[in-house]
Amino acid sequence: MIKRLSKYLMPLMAVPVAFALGALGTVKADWPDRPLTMMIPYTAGGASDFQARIVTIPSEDELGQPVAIINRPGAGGQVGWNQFAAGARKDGSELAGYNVPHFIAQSIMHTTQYNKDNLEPVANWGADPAVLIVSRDSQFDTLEDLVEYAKANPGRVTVSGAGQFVGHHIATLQLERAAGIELRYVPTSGGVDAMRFVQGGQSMAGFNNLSDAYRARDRLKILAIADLERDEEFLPDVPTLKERGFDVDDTSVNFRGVMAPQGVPADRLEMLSEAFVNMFNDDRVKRRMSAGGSPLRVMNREETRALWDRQQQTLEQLFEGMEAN
Amino acid sequence: MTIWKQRIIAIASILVAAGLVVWSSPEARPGYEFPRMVAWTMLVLSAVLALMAFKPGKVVIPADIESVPMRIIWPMLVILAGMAYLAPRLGFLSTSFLVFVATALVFSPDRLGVRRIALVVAIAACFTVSLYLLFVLLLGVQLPRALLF
Amino acid sequence: MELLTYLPQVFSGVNILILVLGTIIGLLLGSMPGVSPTMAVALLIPFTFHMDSTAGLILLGVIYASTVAGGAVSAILINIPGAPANIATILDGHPMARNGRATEALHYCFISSGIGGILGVLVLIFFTPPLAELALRFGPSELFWVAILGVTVIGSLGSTSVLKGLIAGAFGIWISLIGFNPILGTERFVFSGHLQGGISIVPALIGLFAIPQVLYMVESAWRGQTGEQFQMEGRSIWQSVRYNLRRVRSLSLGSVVGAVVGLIPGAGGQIAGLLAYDQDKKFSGHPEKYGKGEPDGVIASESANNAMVGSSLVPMFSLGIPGSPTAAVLLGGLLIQGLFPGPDLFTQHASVVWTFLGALLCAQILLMVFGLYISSLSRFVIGIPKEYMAGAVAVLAIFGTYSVQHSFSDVLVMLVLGTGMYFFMRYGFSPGPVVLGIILGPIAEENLLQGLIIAPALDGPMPYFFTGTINLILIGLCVMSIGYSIYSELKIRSRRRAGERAGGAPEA
Repeated sequence: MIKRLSKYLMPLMAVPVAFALGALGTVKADWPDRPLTMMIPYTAGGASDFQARIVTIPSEDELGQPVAIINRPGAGGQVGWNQFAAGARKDGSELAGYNVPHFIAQSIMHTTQYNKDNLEPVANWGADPAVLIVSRDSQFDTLEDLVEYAKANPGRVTVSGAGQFVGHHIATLQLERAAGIELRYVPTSGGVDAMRFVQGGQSMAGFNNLSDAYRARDRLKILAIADLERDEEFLPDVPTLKERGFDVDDTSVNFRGVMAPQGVPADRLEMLSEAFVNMFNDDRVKRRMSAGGSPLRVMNREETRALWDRQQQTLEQLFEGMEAN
Repeated sequence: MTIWKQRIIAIASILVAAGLVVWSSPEARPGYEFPRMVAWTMLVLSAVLALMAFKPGKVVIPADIESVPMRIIWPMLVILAGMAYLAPRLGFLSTSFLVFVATALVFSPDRLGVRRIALVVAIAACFTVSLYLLFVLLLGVQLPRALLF
Repeated sequence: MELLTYLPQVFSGVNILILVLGTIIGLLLGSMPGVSPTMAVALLIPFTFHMDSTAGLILLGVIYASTVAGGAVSAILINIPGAPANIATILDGHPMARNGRATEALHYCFISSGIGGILGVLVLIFFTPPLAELALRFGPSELFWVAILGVTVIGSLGSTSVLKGLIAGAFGIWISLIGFNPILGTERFVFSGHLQGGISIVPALIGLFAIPQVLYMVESAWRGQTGEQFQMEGRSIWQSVRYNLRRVRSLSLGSVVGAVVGLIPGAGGQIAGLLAYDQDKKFSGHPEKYGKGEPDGVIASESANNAMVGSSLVPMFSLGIPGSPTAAVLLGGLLIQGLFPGPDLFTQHASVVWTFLGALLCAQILLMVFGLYISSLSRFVIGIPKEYMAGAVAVLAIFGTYSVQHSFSDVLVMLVLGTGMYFFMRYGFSPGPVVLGIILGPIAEENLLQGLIIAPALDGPMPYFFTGTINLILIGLCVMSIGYSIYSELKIRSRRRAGERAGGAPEA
């Protein structure tokens, strides 16, 4: 009886063993051996999500494996990034999208499990400046109109943005300080909602992503852009805040890219960085990104690291003396 | 008898709601206003429930309480807990196979024989394979890596 | 008329194949407990990379429509709603099945789904510009009142005691607030790392309905009842169609409420079925029959949640503002294809959009046909022995929960909530109000807080929340809804008292 049973059981047992051995063999020989995952801490359908899906389309050519996008939204990205920093596998197969300045600002102002030091940059794909928008039928036609009104009515100008301590919030803070005005910032749960507030007249103005504003440009007036230079490709006619005399730099520009948890072997990080840079420079990616008004800015691991360090410093200065409550 | 159970439920509900009120009222920290409102609402509702249950005189309360057949369902609770423990360690698919087999065998109304067990194992195998086809191959879900699959 | 110009493209080659396959796959996926429409659409997005934009869009749209309709199958047959949209369907659908009228219930469900769905798509085709403007008028104050209106529905959610329903609802709202404050971004009530992501709707829905059902199933398997083996009657489709078409009030009320609620930005779509069910019950001459297997309940709820599908795409196509979580995912699929919402979408990409709309219209008819066919197969589902069914549902619950966010914490939350709910159900609480609370809690809080930020810049909170046409209409509806609940509760109480007086020995 036992003999007969073991006759059936042996092949059954052999299957998982063979699989396990096979798996061990391939890990060393060529990696990655199965799809990578990339966690995006925002809802499916948002700008970060769909850009991540676009830029990873060529991954099968570059890495030999697809990249699966996983959405884990909540609290402006805190939920996803906390889980990522605390629990991601350290073999490089679990990656995440980052948004700078968001995650750095949150790590300064809130108690988070992540900061720029326990995460490893891989590559940067996009830079989406914040633009100041009002609805089509707004009383403001220029940036000066808005500033003047805000001076006369302190705290009466509502400005929507994609959440607390994201690029839009930082741009609002910077404009307040540079122009000496008091605005009322309304955080919403994402760029789409912030845009709805402006279009529906729930808020008088808003800071939003250039890409989203560009696509909705016939329903909006785009007053200014919070960057060092004008965006020549998509919005050549929109002035920067700086050239209108408000000292606002590019701290609020929303950089998007890929990162890994700390502890991934350096050679894998290098390999991933190279592969992702190639992906971001792929023609299919360029075409689809530019169709949606999403500016590309490809940076490798070193450049991204430098960006993070720079942003950390500027944000620490900006938030000095501010309460997170 | 049921009236006493209703009264116990009302008291328990008040205690839970009171606990939530306390939990939602940390000192001098913003961000708790709405949870506090909700907890107070629940407390008031529970108080009304208690009032109804303790009201003297003829009590009009629906008979909506059944006893819990712990004797019967405990193996299923064990299986569910085991599933939660094993799934990330052993692997989702192999755990599913085991859970299916265990549930079908433990709660089988018929007597267990070799044929019955073989049938259950075969059905469980088919079920697991279709789970794999549907979730992993068709929908591309990335199951966590574990000991077996 | 552009629709007719582009209609032939719907039936060309790949498109028709995707249309038919998508409908069938969507119905099957939707009818599986644990698989929600949002998850199905999100997971199928990568497929669209390999298709042209028309085919990709058709796939996503068709999957959306058919998973919502398919969700009613598990709701009716095994008392587990496939999506938040189907919660109202179980209230009368499952009692109908228990009374041996499962096929009939499924017939009504798919006929009403088809009719409601067609209305929703027609709204999308003909009224997009004006209705999109209406959708934009819903700001924080209006959405807050929508959430409150949703809460008032609890009274008719079929628990034996309205009070217990409200307590369960409050509890649901409270636990939905675990995690982060939506405005400040500060953490609260997180006593375990698994709760960091809070309690999200789909895991809660699966846990609260599926796990108690698993425990009920094993109990009846153990007792040797090979199912409450309710008999499946033979029911001719034509008989159902005739009856269904005569229920004009439920059908039209359901479709219109569904279409209106679908327009409201955000999570509005998830409560379309419940609001329609509630309204239909109130307008009915015999509200006491609801919850005991009243066909009108199924008709209202199912026509509403499919009418919601089309109209939730209205603000999405013209403004890029999705009317439901699933529409938000669909929006992502649209953007990847390089189709950007806005008025020029209909002119620049006329071929894609009108072919898609044509396909969506055809999908409603297809899902009605396939659905009616599936209804006749449902006796096999009911024939499955309970012990197999329990194991399968438990496993599907885990897979379905995990797949939403690839998060095992969600699975644990689902299991704990579900097991707890089983015990609460034994003490007279029902899962419907809890889920409703979990859906509405975050909407109410976020919009209340945003309103309180905006109000000081205008005329203060009181005028902000209590003036404006839409606000006043919504407040009126809330007051009516609460008033009606109290009235009917008192009526039921006095009737019970009278019954006891007549019947002698009280049973409490």
